Formats: sequence, C-alpha cells, structure tokens
Amino acid sequence: MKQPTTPSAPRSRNRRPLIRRVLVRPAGALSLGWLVLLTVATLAAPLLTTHGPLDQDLGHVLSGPTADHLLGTDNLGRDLLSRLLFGGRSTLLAVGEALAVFLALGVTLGLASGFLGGWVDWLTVRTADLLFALPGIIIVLVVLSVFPGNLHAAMITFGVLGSPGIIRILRSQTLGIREELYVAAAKVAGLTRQQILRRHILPRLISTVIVQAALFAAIVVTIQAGLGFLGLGAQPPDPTWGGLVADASQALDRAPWMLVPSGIPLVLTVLALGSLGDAVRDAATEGWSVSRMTAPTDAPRTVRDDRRPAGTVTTNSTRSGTSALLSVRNLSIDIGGVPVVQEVSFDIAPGETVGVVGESGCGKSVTSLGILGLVPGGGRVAQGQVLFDGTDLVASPAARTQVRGTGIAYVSQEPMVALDPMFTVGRQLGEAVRRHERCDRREARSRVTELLDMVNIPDPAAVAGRHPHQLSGGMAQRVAIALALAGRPKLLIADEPTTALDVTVQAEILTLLRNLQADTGMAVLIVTHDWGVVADLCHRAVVMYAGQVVEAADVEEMFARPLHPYTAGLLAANPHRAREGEPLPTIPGTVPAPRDWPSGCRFAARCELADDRCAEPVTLTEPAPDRLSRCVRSQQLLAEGTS
Amino acid sequence: MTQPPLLDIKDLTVEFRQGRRTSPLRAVDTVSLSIAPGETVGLVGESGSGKSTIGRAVLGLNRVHSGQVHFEGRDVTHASSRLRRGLSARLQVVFQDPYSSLNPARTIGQTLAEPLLAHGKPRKQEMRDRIAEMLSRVGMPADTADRYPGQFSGGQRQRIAIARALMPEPRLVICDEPVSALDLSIQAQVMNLLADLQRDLDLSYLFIAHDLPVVRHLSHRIVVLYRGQVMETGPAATLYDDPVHPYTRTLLAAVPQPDPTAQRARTAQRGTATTVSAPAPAGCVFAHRCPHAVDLCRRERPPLLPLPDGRAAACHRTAELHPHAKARQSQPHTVRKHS
Repeated sequence: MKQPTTPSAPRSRNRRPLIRRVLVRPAGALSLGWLVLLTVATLAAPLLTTHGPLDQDLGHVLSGPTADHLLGTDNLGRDLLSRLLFGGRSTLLAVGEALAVFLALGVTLGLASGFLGGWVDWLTVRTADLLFALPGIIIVLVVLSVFPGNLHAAMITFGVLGSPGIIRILRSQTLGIREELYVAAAKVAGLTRQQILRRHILPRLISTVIVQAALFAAIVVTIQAGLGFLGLGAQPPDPTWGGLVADASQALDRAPWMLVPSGIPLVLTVLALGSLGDAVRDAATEGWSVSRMTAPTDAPRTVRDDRRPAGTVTTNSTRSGTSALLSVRNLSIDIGGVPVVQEVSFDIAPGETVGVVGESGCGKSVTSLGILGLVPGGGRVAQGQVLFDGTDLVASPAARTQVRGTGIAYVSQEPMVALDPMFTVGRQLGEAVRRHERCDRREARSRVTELLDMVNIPDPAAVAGRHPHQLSGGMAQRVAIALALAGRPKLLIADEPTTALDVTVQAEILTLLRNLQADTGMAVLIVTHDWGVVADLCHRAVVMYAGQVVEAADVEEMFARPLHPYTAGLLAANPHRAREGEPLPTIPGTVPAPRDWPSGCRFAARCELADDRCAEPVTLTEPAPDRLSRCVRSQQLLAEGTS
Repeated sequence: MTQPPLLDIKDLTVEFRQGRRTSPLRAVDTVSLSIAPGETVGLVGESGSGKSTIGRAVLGLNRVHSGQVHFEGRDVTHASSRLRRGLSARLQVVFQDPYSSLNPARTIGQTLAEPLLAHGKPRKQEMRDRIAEMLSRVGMPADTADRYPGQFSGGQRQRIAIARALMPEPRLVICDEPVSALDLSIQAQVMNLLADLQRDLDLSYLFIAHDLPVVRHLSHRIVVLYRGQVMETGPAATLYDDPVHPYTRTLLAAVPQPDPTAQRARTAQRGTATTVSAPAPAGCVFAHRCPHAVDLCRRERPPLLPLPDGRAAACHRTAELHPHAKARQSQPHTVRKHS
C-alpha cells in the first residue's frame, strides 16, 4: 500500500489526505456529495430559480412538477424549489450554530474535566448533570417566547443543552487515556499539558467527537424542522423546511405530491449526516486501528502447498506401546479461515505431565483449547482427532461436553477470569461439586472443604465465605485449581497457570500441582513459555513453532541435547544460562504471523543452520528413540550432541 | 574513585491515600540508593514491593511523601514542571507494556520527535536525521517512522520505546520491567540491545524487574525490596551467588532452574507451605514468612547494616546465619558505595 523508501519528516504522513480517504468510501462520497450539493444549491439559490420564495402564482396553486415549477407549487402558488432552497439556508445556519456551540463547550469541558480533575471536574460534571435534568425542548420553547422568532437564540440554547452528553463521554474516555503509559512517557519527555492534550488525548477522541457531532447535527436538523413546523422559527411567509412540511400536511388530501419535495430533503440530510460521521471516523482512524491478528507485514504472501507433504510422520510414535490417556492426532485448527495450528500430534499417558513450550503466536494455547473444543475467535478444528480414553472428541460433540470437567479440566493463566466475582468461593465450588456428583447440600459442603484443603488453603471455611476479589492472586489460582478438581478429572490442562504470579507463589503452585498429581494420579498438560517450569514439573515436552510441533522428547534429553535449532535457541536465550559480561545468545527476528508462514521450514528465516533443503517442507522425523524433530539436520544435531 | 552519584535517593517514602478514613498505604518506606554514571542498579521485588513506585517517584509521576531525590547533584524531589521539562533531556523512561506506552493514533516518527519538542524546535531535517539514526541504532528499518504502532510486534514496540527514551541523549534511563512482557527470544534481543547501548552511550540504568536472572545479567548492583523496604543490597554477582537475607534466599530458591536434574533436587526440599499474608505491625516486614524469625524480629524493625564485602542487609540474624559476613557497624547507615 505505502512503502516509503526514504525516511520522511516526522509530521508528514506519507498517505492520502483525509478528504480523499473519505471519498473512496461509497457512503462517504454519497453523503458528502449530498451535503455539498445542498450547501452550494442553497447559497446559489437566486441563480438556480427564477421565482422568488415569496412570489405567488395564484394561477398555479398546488401544482405538481412542471417545466416552470420544477418541484411544483404550494397552496399560494409559490415555487417549492425556491422555497426549499431558501429555507435550506436557515437549516444549515441553524446546524452550524448549534454544532459550534455543542463542540466548543463539549470538547473543551470534556477534556478539561477528564484531564485536570479536581474542582474543574467536579463543577463541570455537576453542571452537566443539572443540564441533563432540564427538559431541552421546553427550555428552547421558553427561549423562543422570550426572543420570538429568533432562531439563533434557540439554536445556541440547544447547543448548550446538548453538550452535557458529549462532555460526559469525552470525560470518561479522557480519564482512561490519561492513565495510559504513553501519557506518562510524554510527561517524562517534558511535554506541557497543552501539548499532551493536543498530541495524545485529542487524536484518540477524534472518532468519538466526529460521531457525536454527526448525530447531534442530525438531531438539530429535525428539531429545527420541528420548530418550523410549529411556526416557532422563522415567521411565515419566510420559507423553512419545517414550514414546508406544515403546509404540505394541510394540503395532504388535495396535493399529496407536496410532501415529497418538502420531506425527502429533510430525510436525506439526516441520513447523510449519520453516514458521513461513520465514514469520516473510519477514514480518520484507518491508519492506526489495525487489529493485531492481521497486522500487515510487507513480505509477499507465500503460496503454501500444505495438506500433508509426503512422508510426514502422521502418528506420534513416542510411547506407542503404552495406552495413552489423551492422544492428539494431526490436529489442525483454523481461525478466520487461516490455519493457526497444523497437524499437531502428541500423547499423554495417565499420570504423566507434558509441557507444551513455545513463544506467543506459536499456537500452544489454541491447541490446548482445541482439545476441549473451545477454539477462540470463532475458529474451528479443521481436521484431526482428539482421542480421550479412546473416544474421539472432535467427532462427537456429546462426548466432548460429557468429558469437560469430569474427564478433562482446565485452568487458565488469569485465575480471576475463571472465578465469578458475584459469588463466594464456597458457592462456586459447591455448584461445580453438585454438577458432577449426586449429593445433598451438606455432602457438597464437606466436599468443598475437602477440595480447598487439597489445594493447601490454610483456613478452608473462611476462604469459602469470601468473594474472589478478596483473594490474593496465588490464593485465587488455588481456588481455580480446586474448581478444576471438583469433577475428579483424569487430565488437567493448565494454560500458563503461574505466569501472572510472583515467583515465590509460582513455586508454591508448582509444588501443589506436583503433589496433587502424586495423590490423584491425574495427568497434566501444561502450556508454558518458561523453561524453568518445564524443568520443574514435566516428564516430557512438546516444542511448538508457528503452529507446528518442531520437537518432542523427555525433558532431560531435550535440555541436554535439543534436536531442533529453535529449541536450542530458546534454551540458550534464557538469562539463567547467561555468561557474565557476554551478550545473551539470541534468535534473530520474530515468530511469523500465520499469514506469512513459508512453505518450507517455518524457522528457516531465523535459523543459523538453514540451507537449501529448508526451502522444502520439512517433516517430523524420529532421529532417536522417543524423540521427534522437524529439522533436516536432526541426525547431525544428535551426533554433535553425543560427541 | 569517588565519582559523585548520578542519582541519589535518600530515605524515600511514598504513600498512597486509600480513602478518607483508612491510613495511607506506605508503598515505599525510607529507601535509599544511588546510581553512578554508567552503572546499572537492579531493583528486584515481588508485586507490591514498591519497585515501580520508586521509578515513578524519581520521574515525578508519583508524589514523594518524604526523603530526597538528587539527580546530577540537584534536588529534584519536588521539581516544578518547568524544572522537570529541563530534566527530561537527561532522565528518561522505558515502560513494561509496549502496547500501552505508544499512542496508537500517532506515527512512530511523531512519537520519537516528542522528547525533542520540550527543548526548542529543532529543524525538520535535523529531526528527521536524528530519528533515522535512533531507529537504526535500535535495529528498526528506516521506514518505521511513517508507520503506526499497530503494525509492530511487542518486541519491535519495545525497541521503539527505547529509541524514544534515547532521543534526547539521556544519562539515566529508568527501565520499568522492560522485558517482562516479551517472549524469551525477543527478551534476549532487547537485553542485549540495552547492554550495547549502555556501553556505547555511557548510560546509567535503574533496572526494575521481578525476574532475578534477568536483573542479575544486566545489573552491576542489585537492591532487593520487600513491602517497600530494602532487604538486601550489594554487587550483583555476590548477592546472586551468596544471598545473605532470608528473603533474597527465598526469592532465589523460588526461581525454577531450566535444568531438570538440578530442579528436581531443589523441589525435593521445597516445603508445601502456603504463604499467608499477615502484615507485621512493628517488626521486620518479612518475619511472618521467614524460617529464621525469632521474637526480636517481630518486635523491632532491623536496620540496613553494611557488611564487609560491600553489601548491606536488613536482618537481625545476619551475624548468626552468616558468620563470614559479620556486620561491621551497629548503627543504621544509608547504603552508598562505589567501590
């Protein structure tokens, strides 16, 4: 789209101006076209029509469109086109006046109130609340009775009365933006308040302001027409759009046509304002409101010839002798039509702990959720099997529902999300217990205490009576684990269960998981990016990169002798293994987004060992017993490691 | 070698009001530390230890309750906004969250230009060159300046945030958990970048983090905080390899080693206790979690005492538990060593 070759001035934007970006949108072009046409036509009204707005032609009253009167005439034979155009002047003026007052008050006070806080905020919010309580239209009518026929006074009043809405909206947004780190960074950079407001706060509010302004303008058009209809604006015989509708409604039975030229422009103008607001908002923010999933990289999209290259190891040969509790077979998951996990296979034996390791964007979490049929973001399992105790959970949604909680339980990274803030710990656990076991209240209660005891909560009875917000992070994670244990699962899937916790609390939770496993014999699938956690807890580890399994092995073997360059690089980048005074070994570059996955080895672009063979799809091979690697050099790595 | 410290914090105390009735929360409690030119001081602690608050107080983003902050020999504890604007050229910050620290509605070029605006308007061409130079220094392509933050990954954004901090050629950069939100391979890249920049530009860092191995790798000295108080401080290698304070030892023992054999040996010894947060009213703040706590620990707050090997620890039982690191003096002492 835009690919500047030279660094340009910081202020200049190397892209089309806003107006062009609005005009390329059909809605923007149409609505802006209508409003411009209307403005030009009303301004040039004397040139466009030979009849004055007050000229009566009593020979042609209530006529339809003719060559002389393009839009027909009213009950006094006045030309409707002329009245429409001259009347439009007062409508546009009214919109301009009310909007100016609305924006001047609303933006200034909204920003000041949110950014400055203190008494400015207090006074503004109280005044705004007071104005909210006033019935706007009645105040406008009062003003009109004090200044009869003075539409300017009415519109300024209406602008003032409309401003509290935008003040409150902008205030609350500003309050949020004020806490953003980039505002703190701007303060540290030495920017003044005004500079921060202009550079950081206003640009974030601009879309809200535009939408609010467009909505308000549309309301003003209808209000102004309403006043004209009631004869409260410009006094007859001066033309107003509202007055035209009033005239038309009186002649409805004799000349229904009259309603068309008087009503349609009104409706079109209101619609145009609304859709122009949307178009401008979209155009103003299109540059930066890029969703993270689809962040474009300029690399050309490679054509993938996927669908299982020949010779792929389609079954996980590790532990083929033992009967696996969970057996994932060629699991592929798409989100939004883009494959994010491809042909992942691994087994978990009863009582075993398997770690899924990798950086963000490699598909570890999606894989773990896919096992439960809970693919996020509207994704779906595209192919493959998830065999749990011999039943395929992908093929049978009923089995999947059955197995959740009782067969497979899930613990997430953020315990507070797993717990409902509305209910006490005891009530939530009790609900889970009764869902899984037939028991009365008392039995359920004793089971709740037992569960809390299992997760080493010191005073189970007291904790059961607390709400989630009264728990510390570590305590909440213990409760979340207790909740997962309620159905006596055979497999616990834990997605980064300790990432959000302090290191001392993490150690406690890891110990807890290990002890629980020893006591209950359940298997654990733990998703993590922390090699320390893998070393602490896991028997086996599966390393994922860009949606694929790149290595799988027993942890001792893997740590001692990684057979994939990605595993080796990730292990070396750990600051634990750093040598004093030397830079950390790094892997250059980043994990490619799913859209940019190459057809060959997905790690090749970051790999020191890459050669011509890596441009071809690389299959998962078994260079040593119970070890899998997706690297053309795995044999060589094996030999180097042992020598 | 008595180079005056670049940053000198003395008895810093920061309190947060928690509503009208309750007494204020003391987030930072009489903390003293100093940073020499070209030095990195690591500030370690768990959540709620007050480590980020110290950084924010130095930057003037949090109000200081008592104590002093001296920067380049000047008292900046309650600096006016005008003085702050002057300081901004030499005192900068990199925040943890690379998503919140860049305004999504402004191009990278606009963001990078900002630190220079406070010091008069440089000419356009000059600004453009400086931005291009800074971007290439942090390893970003030149066309970055015209793009929006939404087009970059977390690691790239953190590089941009570092570039912004370095635009006005600062002497001290407060790094508030700059690599915690990053993936392992990216974390290593950014850590190396910070080390390279320090060497090339003679920067000082106040490096705030919860991850001890990360702090150990980048810092010359480490300050360990718990509940707003300094527990132990000393040269990074000594403190990491032979911690004196029971809290430092707890913290180090909790970090899982990326070595299955070693880690299994360690977990075998680990207890199953659950941490109960019970605030100690008068005594040592760590006493309720400390395996070595005695009555004295619950009664009296231990002073931070210097040890002969250049360290200092706030523990009543240092002499008993660490005979080789006997306390040298018995009166409290602020820690300032540039040996």
